[in-house]
Amino acid sequence: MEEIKKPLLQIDALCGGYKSFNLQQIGFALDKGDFAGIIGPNGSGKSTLVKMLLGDLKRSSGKMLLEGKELSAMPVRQKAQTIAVVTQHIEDTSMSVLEYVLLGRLPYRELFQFFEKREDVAKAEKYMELTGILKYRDQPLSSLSGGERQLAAMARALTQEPKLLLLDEPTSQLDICHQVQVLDLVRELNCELGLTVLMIIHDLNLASSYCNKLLLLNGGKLHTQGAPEEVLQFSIIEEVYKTVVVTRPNPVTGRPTVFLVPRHQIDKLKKERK
Amino acid sequence: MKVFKLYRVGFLVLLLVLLVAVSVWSLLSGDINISWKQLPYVLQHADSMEYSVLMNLRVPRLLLAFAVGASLSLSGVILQGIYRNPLVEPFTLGISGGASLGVALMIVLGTAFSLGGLLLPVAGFAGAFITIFLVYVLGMGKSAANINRMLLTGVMISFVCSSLLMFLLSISTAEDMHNIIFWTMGSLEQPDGRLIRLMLFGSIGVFLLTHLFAHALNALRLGEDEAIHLGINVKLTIRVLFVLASLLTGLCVSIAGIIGFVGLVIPHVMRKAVGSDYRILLSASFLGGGLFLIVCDVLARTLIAPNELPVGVLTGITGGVLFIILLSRKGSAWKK
Repeated sequence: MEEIKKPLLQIDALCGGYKSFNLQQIGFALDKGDFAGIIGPNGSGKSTLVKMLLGDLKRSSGKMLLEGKELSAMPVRQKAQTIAVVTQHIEDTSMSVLEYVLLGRLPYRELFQFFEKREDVAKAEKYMELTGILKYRDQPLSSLSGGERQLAAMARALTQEPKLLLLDEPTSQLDICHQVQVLDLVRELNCELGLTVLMIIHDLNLASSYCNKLLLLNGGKLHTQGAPEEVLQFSIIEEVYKTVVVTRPNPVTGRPTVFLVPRHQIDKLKKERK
Repeated sequence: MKVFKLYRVGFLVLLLVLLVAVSVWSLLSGDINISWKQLPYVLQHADSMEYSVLMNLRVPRLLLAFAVGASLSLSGVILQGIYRNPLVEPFTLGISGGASLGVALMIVLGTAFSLGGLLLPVAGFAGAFITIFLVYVLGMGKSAANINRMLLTGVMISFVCSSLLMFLLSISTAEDMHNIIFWTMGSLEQPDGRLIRLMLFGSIGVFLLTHLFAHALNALRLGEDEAIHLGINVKLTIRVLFVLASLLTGLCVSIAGIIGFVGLVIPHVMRKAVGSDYRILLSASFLGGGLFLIVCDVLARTLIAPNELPVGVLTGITGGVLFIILLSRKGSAWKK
């Protein structure tokens, strides 16, 4: 019998959320090595979905399977060895960058282990090198800029050596240089380490450039999912975002690119047609 | 290991050396002055009066001062860690109020001196324990630790307790009133060796236990959610540490009365000195608290000799002044 390849993460009919807002019947699957983006307007449920995956928020029904095992039944420690997250808000702390990154080894700590092992420090340094923050090793995290802190958080998440990396808007506070730097890094990890990535991202064009799979949320429902070419069609985007857009392939990469059309330009066009 | 900066370990060694020095000072000073040249002689002559003063009065008192100071400071640093708030100290949660009320009730009921003098500590501990229980049940709610709610519950219970205490004072006789007030001021004079041993072993036991949670406390510096993402069982950590810190405080209050400010000031000073890595901060606070209370006790005994100041008065004054000086200095924001 042929062995059926199980997806890394499988979400089935996931429901739940807050009193005034609910996710409804979310279902998707990620294979190992996927680089998936969650897109959608503000308040569409992107963060709620990630919180539910992390267990910060309880679902009311549905299934969340990681390698066939139910996520919510997994002990926190084991979960931290499988899923790592970089949240938007990174706490302002006086601990040094190395101490901060080393916290990523906590899920692997033994009960009576008091000091980190040599290999833990080696791993932390390896990922700090990879994210380019090794030079700040002994500086307090609070002295770093927003972009550098984002990279430190990434290094910490990688130090957890997870199978699935969750990113909550990793580029929201960065200029384009750092945006590309961060996402290039994530892509490199995705390709070379086979790390599966699921990220919330607002910028549709960045999503299109980097992701192989997009999940478009709208009002707590999964509106469309698939390759960027399938999801980033002007009719779908206009319907969900209630904005007039034009999509064209990027002249270099060929990936679909979304162009905004401001209201006054539309009015102008309408007038000319008359 | 590389992360453990050498000066931090050096600071612990310094604290230990200071602790030994201060202990010797404490043993030698008092009504009957023993110079330290005399010390070897005194120790070899068990029948001398100096020997009996040393062994029966000063050593127990020294041990109690150390254990109480260390415990209060340790409780403070733990509570600040789980609440992520620099202003929490053992007494903010209403524990002292509950204990005072328990003791006052016993004194007013006139049963205080039965049970071989053990009743007051037992009543104090019961009062503290009931308060902890109330704060825990009312404050925890459904979530792991609703920090603001718990703090407010503690403050409110404090108020209720102190009002009830006022009521008891108003209906009690002059002698009872004196006893209650004297107990509230805190004293390290404790004739019962069993209680001193209990305090000492209790403090060391809790100190060792908290080290199982040092990493969890470090992770909590990033917030509860992040700590969970790092695989920490936050609920369990907060609950166990809260109960340990409260029991330890209850023990202190029931044996030595109310000695304020140690749990607030010492952890703050230690954070400045060694940083907020709990693997070292726990030890630093423990030693520093013991050291501080030994010094305060010696001063309380010697400043206006032959009379004695209540040690709680001294910790309040020195601690408060120290705190204000620290706060008014630049860059004194609490470091998470």
